[in-house]
Amino acid sequence: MKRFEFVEHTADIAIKAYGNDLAEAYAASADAMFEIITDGAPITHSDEFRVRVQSDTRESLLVRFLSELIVIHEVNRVVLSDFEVKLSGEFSLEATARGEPFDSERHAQGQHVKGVSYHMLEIHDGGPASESFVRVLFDV
Amino acid sequence: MSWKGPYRQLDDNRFEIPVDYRSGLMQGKGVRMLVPGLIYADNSSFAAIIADDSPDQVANVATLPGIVGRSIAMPDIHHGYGFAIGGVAAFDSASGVISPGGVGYDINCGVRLIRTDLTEDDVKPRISKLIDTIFHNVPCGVGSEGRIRLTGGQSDEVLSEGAGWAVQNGYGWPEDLLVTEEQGCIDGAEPRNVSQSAKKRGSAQLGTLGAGNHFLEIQRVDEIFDRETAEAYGIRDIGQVTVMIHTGSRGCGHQICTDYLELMRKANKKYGIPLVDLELACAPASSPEGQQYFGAMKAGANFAWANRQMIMHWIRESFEAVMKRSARNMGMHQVYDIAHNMAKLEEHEIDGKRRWLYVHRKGATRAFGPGHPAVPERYRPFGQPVLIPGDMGTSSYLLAGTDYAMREAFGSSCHGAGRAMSRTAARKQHPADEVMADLRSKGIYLRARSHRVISEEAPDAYKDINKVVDVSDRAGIARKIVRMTPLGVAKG
Repeated sequence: MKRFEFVEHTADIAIKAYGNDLAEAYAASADAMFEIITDGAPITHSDEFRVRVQSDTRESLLVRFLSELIVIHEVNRVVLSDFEVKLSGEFSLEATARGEPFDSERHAQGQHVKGVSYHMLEIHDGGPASESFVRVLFDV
Repeated sequence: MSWKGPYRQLDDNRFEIPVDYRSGLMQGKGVRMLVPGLIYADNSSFAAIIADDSPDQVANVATLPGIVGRSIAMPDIHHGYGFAIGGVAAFDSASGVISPGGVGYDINCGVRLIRTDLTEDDVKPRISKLIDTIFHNVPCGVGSEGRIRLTGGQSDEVLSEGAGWAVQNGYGWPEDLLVTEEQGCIDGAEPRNVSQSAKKRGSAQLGTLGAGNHFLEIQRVDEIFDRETAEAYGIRDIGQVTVMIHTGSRGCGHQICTDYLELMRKANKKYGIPLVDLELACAPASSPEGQQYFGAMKAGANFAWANRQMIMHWIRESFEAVMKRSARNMGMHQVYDIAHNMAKLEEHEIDGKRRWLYVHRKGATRAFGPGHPAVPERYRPFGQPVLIPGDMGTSSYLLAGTDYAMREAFGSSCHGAGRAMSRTAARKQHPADEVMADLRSKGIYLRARSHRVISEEAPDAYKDINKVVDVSDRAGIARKIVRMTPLGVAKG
């Protein structure tokens, strides 16, 4: 089941990603970003990647996390999926992802994501009782 | 989200947001506008502009310390992040700020125009071959990889030397630099201020077009509005063939912006600058953080000039391969190359006094008037060429900067059409095969990596470029010189 949806925006692409907790919502936002990049093409799981990010606010932690994934995607020329995120406190996270080398035949149908914007950024921690979500806008 | 704030129509092409306007957000943050807002628009385009909240963004920018004159919006303004796209804001060099948000992710996204001695009759029978060859020679699309891989040292050379590095390495002609803004290399670039991530993203992508609204286009001259100026720019006849490149600094510039938005977030707190919108994050231009960003931004700008220089070289080679003539023999001289996402330190006359200002143009083009020393000598009597890329299937324009733009808008003009429809809506309304059939019926050959991009970039998804340019021309911030229409388009 998809745990994210696209939100209407004139110039760029916004998404809302959900999870049982914030860590799941963060992971879903990363899945959404690679759906934008690959236009939803299937991604096989030949390689594993790890990311560690720290920051001083929740918002910038999420922006840094997604920005770091863009760097990995472009520099290593890979596409990623199947994210798992572990939060340590509010301002530090560790994530694993699986992915494969970028294949221009299969993965080039989407959008080039230039950056992760603070604009419209929303982080809702639903706590144990209700769903958590994040809203992120990607500059494309 | 439509805008309900006050405005005053100054004349047929200008609306002012009064300096005493105070939005709820401004009251909440305890800030006020320091200068009025000015929006270039006619009645019909103003109605579209106030349908989103970009006028509020124009007003918000007017609250930033050291802003001079007015917070300006071009006729193609639309909603951006913090700063609207199509905005121009100038800040005093001593008391003002500098902001990565006022430049945008794609530092020195810009346009290059090449003229030829070819006519549409020469090119039309070979248009598919030409576009296919260009499409093959210029890497484009999501994830495209450059044809060369830079070493660490070379990467710094590109960031320092810009288009000059490309020419020295055999990409293009020395004369190209004379007709490039800043001669393709802005002084004061600081590669050491650029992160390894930005350099790595850049080194894999030098000499690539990218995706989205970036394009390479073979065009025909469709209309000449001012023969004398057109001739000075190298355009003589209807049907003459031109080539346009629209791209920027790729992952290198995007990462510089990402890195410095983070730094500015902290600097902003350090210097206690009250912000009505977090995305206006900035630092005093004269502060270490401000200067650090300025040096990195210039390095990103140089990367973009090298990028367009290399792409032009491969376009010349593609024409040579298909037309079996040398690029020189075909008169493939560059007309001009211009940035439309940039902050620059410029001297302007404000109330009779010369002042140094950090002029931010985000989705706006420098448009210096006749006689300005920064305009290439051979164009100087006519004003700086201003290049306005259209969307595929419509028109692009060659304009000239004016004295009026120097006095009114810090020598700036519009930059393009701006989106009018979301990508999702465009995909629903414009299936790729319909867009391609429509272009074919207009005699336009399109080659694109992605069907999704074809839908999303459908001509209807953009504002009418003709109206945007007409307002700029009537308002006097640029003069219409030539209109070009596409014969063939290569996209990501």
